[in-house]
Amino acid sequence: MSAPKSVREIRDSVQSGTLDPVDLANSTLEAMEVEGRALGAVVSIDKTQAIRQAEDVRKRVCAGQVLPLAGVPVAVKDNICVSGQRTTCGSRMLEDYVSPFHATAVERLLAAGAVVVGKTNMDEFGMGSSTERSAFYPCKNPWDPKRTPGGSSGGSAAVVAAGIVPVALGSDTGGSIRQPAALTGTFGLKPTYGHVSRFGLVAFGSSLEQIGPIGKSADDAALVDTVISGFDPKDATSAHSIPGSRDEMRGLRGLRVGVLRDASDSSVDSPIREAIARTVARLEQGGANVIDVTLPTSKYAIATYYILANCEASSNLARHSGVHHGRRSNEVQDLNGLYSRSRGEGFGDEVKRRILLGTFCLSAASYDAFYDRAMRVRTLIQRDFDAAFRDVDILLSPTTPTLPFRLGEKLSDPIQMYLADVFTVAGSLAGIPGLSFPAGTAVVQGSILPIGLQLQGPPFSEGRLLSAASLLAEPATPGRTKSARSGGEA
Amino acid sequence: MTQSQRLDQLLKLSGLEVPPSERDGLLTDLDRIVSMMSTLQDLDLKLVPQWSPARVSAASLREDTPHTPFDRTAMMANTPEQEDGYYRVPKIVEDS
Repeated sequence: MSAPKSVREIRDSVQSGTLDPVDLANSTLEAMEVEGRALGAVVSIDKTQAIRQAEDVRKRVCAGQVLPLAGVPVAVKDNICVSGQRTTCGSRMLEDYVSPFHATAVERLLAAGAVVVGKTNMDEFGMGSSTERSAFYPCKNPWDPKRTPGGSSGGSAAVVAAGIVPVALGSDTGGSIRQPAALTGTFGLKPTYGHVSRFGLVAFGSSLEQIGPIGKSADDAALVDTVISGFDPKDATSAHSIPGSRDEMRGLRGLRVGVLRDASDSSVDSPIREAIARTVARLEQGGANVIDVTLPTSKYAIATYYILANCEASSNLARHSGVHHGRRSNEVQDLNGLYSRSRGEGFGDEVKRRILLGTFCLSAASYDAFYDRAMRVRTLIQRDFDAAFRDVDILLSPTTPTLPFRLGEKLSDPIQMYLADVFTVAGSLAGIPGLSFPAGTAVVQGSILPIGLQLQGPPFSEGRLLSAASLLAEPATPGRTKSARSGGEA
Repeated sequence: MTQSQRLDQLLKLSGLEVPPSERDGLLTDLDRIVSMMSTLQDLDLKLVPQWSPARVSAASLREDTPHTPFDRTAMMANTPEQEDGYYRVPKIVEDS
């Protein structure tokens, strides 16, 4: 496959008439069908709708319209509604569910001239960190097909990393954009809570999740973020635009950077720790002021997240009852049987586990000990970040403790899988933006694997994060890296 | 209450069922995860308020005028069983 074009190049070429959006849509659809499906990254493709969108873009451009994403092919995670297309959430429960409306983020992409070329595979209802919990099939990492691309937005990250599309939409509740971005060498942005409308995102953790872009470059992610973000009256948690949120930095000089240090450091793979050291050196050479920062409550972030996210999941997934939509069991005698049998058949093991945990934490005997305590610890976690951002402009940390892990490696132990999110959940709890960017590669058992690092900033500092990432990133492409810029074997 | 009875209660509250062959494994997993979540008991939280999303500005309330945001037929196209615009479910109230 030829080198992928960037969002900006595609837009400018379509706008100038040198690239036909219908031709581009056709070639991308073929790549999604062949390479995307071979990776296990694709759930569904609606060619008719995609070509119709591309033809519409052609008409609009010929009529003189200037479209911010003219002709750009975008893949959409399968928990984000696209009208007339299946939205399965990677679940048998919604296997045949066809969305009757667009998510606001999708509406805005289409208004800007983008073309939706397919729905991507994911861990069921966003519950997972490897895309192995998809009810349909696992997704493979384009860097090494024996390894996972991470999750839950693994399909979206894989099609971007493989060069099939320049950008995809994912969703992030506790790390589900950032972690797969790190494991696939792409840029993944979890925006500030409220920055992007959640209307049309199938709910899992309503106080935590955000839709965001995964792209091959910070510029690609920034261009999509600009289009999809902003106030939406259909989302009661949507925020109005904040002045300065799109401000970019001109360089690293004077930037105050905090490097997160805590007890998790020793469990981080050595190539990732070496990438942190290289990035710190580059920051200092560029004139940034770098200090160590600790967040005292962060060691409780995993427990806090998994209490609150599971409680919200227990509540949110109650709507999937087999009555209004979704799978309905044929073997029911009464209404309660309809609920339990339909949901028992429709949900996978991890989803059932999390619903049960959430129900437990919200039950009368456990509410004070778990949910109430977690909500108070969440306050402490947010205060930690508020205090840190009085002294620094951005925080640097690993995105994940490990390089991409093998398919099946963590499936038998749910807690091991949960620990993949150790660096991302705290930012979700605080509602701050987080961006994973590629920071070189490492050689592991003969495979070249990507390394991702994370930047976090105060609320609505997406512009600052994207600028910093574009200055610091060491991007690479699977199959095209001849020598690894590495810290050696992991 | 035994662990098995506790699981039955949770399954009922959650509207779920699991095959008998999966119960033991599920109980073991739940026990380990609850143990992990119990680390929050270490903290003194008496003076710490519950978190609230103070930063997110409240969306404006819409005008109090009737309107139809969605087409009913489109909304019910995914309904497993329907009749005359109603959702069909097993009988809830017994005949007297």
